[in-house]
Amino acid sequence: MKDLALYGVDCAKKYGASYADIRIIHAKNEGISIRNGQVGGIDRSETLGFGIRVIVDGAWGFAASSRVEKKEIEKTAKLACDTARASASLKLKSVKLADEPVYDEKWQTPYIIDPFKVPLEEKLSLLSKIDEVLRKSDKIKVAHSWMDFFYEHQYLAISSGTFIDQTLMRSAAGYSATAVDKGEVQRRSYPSSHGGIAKTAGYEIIRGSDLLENAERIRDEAVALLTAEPCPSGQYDTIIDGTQLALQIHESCGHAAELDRVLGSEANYAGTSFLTLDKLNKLKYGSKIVNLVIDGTIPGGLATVGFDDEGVRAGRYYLVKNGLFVGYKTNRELAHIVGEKRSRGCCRADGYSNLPMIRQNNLSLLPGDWDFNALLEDTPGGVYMVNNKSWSIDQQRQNFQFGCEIAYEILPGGKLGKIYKNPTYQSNTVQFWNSCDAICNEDWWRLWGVLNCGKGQPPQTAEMSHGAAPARFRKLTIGIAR
Amino acid sequence: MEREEMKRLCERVLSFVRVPEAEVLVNQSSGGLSRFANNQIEQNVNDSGVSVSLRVIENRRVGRASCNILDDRALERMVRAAEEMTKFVPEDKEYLPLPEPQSYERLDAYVESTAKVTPKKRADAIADFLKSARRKKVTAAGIISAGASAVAFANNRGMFAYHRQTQADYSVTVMTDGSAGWARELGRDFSKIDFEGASEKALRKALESRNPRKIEPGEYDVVLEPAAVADLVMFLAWLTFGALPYMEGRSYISGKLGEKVFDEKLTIDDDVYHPLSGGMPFDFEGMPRKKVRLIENGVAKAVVHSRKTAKKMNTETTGHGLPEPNSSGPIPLNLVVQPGDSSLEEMIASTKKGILVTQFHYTNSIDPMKIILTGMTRNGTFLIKNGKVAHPIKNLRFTESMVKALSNIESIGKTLHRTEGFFGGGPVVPAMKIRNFRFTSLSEST
Repeated sequence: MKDLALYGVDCAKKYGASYADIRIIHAKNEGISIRNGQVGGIDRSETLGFGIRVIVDGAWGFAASSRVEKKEIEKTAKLACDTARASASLKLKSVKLADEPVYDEKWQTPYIIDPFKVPLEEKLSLLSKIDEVLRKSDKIKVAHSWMDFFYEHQYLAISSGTFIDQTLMRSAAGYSATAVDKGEVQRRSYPSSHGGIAKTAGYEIIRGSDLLENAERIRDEAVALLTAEPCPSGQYDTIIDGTQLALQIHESCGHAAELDRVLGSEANYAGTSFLTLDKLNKLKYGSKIVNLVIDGTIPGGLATVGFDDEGVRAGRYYLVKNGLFVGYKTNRELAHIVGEKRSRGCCRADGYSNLPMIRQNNLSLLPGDWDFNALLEDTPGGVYMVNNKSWSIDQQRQNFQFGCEIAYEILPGGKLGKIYKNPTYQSNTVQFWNSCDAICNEDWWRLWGVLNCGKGQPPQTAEMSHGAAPARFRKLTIGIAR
Repeated sequence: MEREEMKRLCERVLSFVRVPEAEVLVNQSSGGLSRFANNQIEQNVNDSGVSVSLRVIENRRVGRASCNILDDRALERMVRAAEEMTKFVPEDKEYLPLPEPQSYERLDAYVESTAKVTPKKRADAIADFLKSARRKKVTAAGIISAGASAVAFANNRGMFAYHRQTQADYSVTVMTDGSAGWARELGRDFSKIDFEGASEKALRKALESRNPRKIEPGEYDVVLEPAAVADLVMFLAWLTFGALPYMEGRSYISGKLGEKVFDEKLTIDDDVYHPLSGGMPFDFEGMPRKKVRLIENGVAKAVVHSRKTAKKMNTETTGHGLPEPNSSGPIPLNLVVQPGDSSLEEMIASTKKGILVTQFHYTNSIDPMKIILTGMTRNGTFLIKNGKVAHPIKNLRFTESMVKALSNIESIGKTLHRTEGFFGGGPVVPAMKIRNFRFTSLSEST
């Protein structure tokens, strides 16, 4: 593959590219699900292909193909260069890339058990056991348990001389129970609704998980929600669990700080951002205890890599430090706009056929110093919300409204009281993070995966993790959708 | 890919199969997309590829594998991987034998010239507008794309289905300092896309949206342009009109077929054969896709079916199955809301106090049974006063039940448009005027 990758770079240079990179990717995926005792989905897929990205006359062109052979590589390199010339015909300024050292390296996700070598019987056995427990109530109309495994072998060659051979492995599993009765539908999922247990790791994370042990509780909660009171409306001190905060971080911090989005590249689709350049190092994004860190190196993170898709070594950077907004997610093209000499390594593509673009990296809210039980005790009359059910945020990432699967009344003394159905909360990003006055400590902090982040036209999907512990937000507006 | 080439590929895959039943799905696509922002092309991409997916069944046990590598070795590896699964998966209690060959309605959706649009032609189509945007000191962003796709479906009982189509898409957002406007043209033929008209519409919306004023959230009559309607009705496709949620009691219309569920002005079909629709005349089981009347004059008439759901409800499939096995059940992919008799101007003229919405953003579901949705207005939101557009307003978040909203329809537009919601879909929809639509909060975002 290395020879073919280098050939692709040479072809691009022959057709006029001043910069070229090629990614040849061999990927495998296995997805299995059980729905109500039946196979709900099953597939083993294998794909191979390449994408060539070039700069000609100061403008970008990209072309991809699934036929990895010399003749097709040359044809595709020429198409990428012709496409760049078409871009150049309307360019206002030339692309300028931040420097990055030249690498010749190999990197691999650390894992213990190759999930593709674990017998299908074992996987189906666990999913079927979960399914059985979930369906032990006749109110559960849909029990859905699933696993997903992904392997990607990438060969990246860049005209600077870089060659990176990188292998990524992801494993994920989860389930949900949907209860239905008398015109009411309620769902609970475990461990979270957007990626279950999901990490760059092998099957060991599933063998070591508590998936089965929690199935009974999740089933019973889904059934109990059918007759629960609706979430109260008004302004309440609210503790938001890490399962929900992960998506809150994703939507209101992660996307808002993508520099391409800030500069208008996403304006026609997902939108722009309120985090305009004048806010860097000036905006009090959150309260002093709010620290958000971009980290492409954290073990198990779904966006944890050795190098991003334009050959930048993964790193760790503050996005918000002690409440102050201090940094964007960048790539090699845009880093200089914010006065930085190197990219922060946030440029990734969905497979071989898509253009690398700034994507959310792993982004986490650092732990605070509260014990969860002490926080409950300190929040009598408040509400505790768990696990995402609904999400919506405006085009500049300010006004948002989230729905959770379940909420609990917090009684004096810190005990959890009755449960509420259909909890929702609504706020604006800066107001919300400035109302955060307590974050639980590292004992309660976990890394939550998001497997379905969409961005770009044509649309691309990416995966990333967000670490969070339960945190308290004062006088949050809740219960909008009563 | 031409029909015969696809057929040969399907036959080659099926020739490797050793188990009694097998079906193969082949997708091929090629196309390009230029993405512009800040008045220049910033991303410019092309992609071509073929993917093959195989389902095999032995002793009522199913296996599926897929690949995009077309040499015999890779294809055989795929076949063996699918076959191996059948040894371990549970027996399908709802097993149906693969269907016999079917006949399909012709659906002419391929325009040769659209399949051959080059990057230069894409750039040329937007060049004048980008130059004009620079002169007018506004900022344009958008996409222009053209491409072709083909799909073939075959099984080892002799079924073969083939369809190819082209798609051209132009979507443009124009921004001033503090306002934005948007327009989109979607169709099969690149040469029929009205680039100038769409660009001018987006520009006009942006200019008219400058200096928006705040209004208090609350209930207002709304005039929804087609793009806003599309965002709402797509949730009916996902939550309400499929046979699986219907049978499981998870749909608002569960148990209500034959009952009035929405305003009598509302009629909705699923109709891939509508001239504005995009899609194929068969489903992922190879069954012919039928036109289905889902809502007629506000009365729930039907849900869409796959072979399995049809058997359970003692009816015939409507040709809306997804690749088996799946967890979603059948889904209508080509909603058409039947037109009414009002123009957008007449809807505005008949409104004493209301809001004109160009587009919704990031609409999502809160409660599937009441079809409660929330989302933001975007790219041109205006207050209507005494029958006239009075002034632009700041964007608002709505939180509203579609059961209520679609029971409060005052009038429906007479012109249909094909457009997409934020999460996709390609319904054909008119504008719509709805009474007492609930807005719950305000945003400073433009």
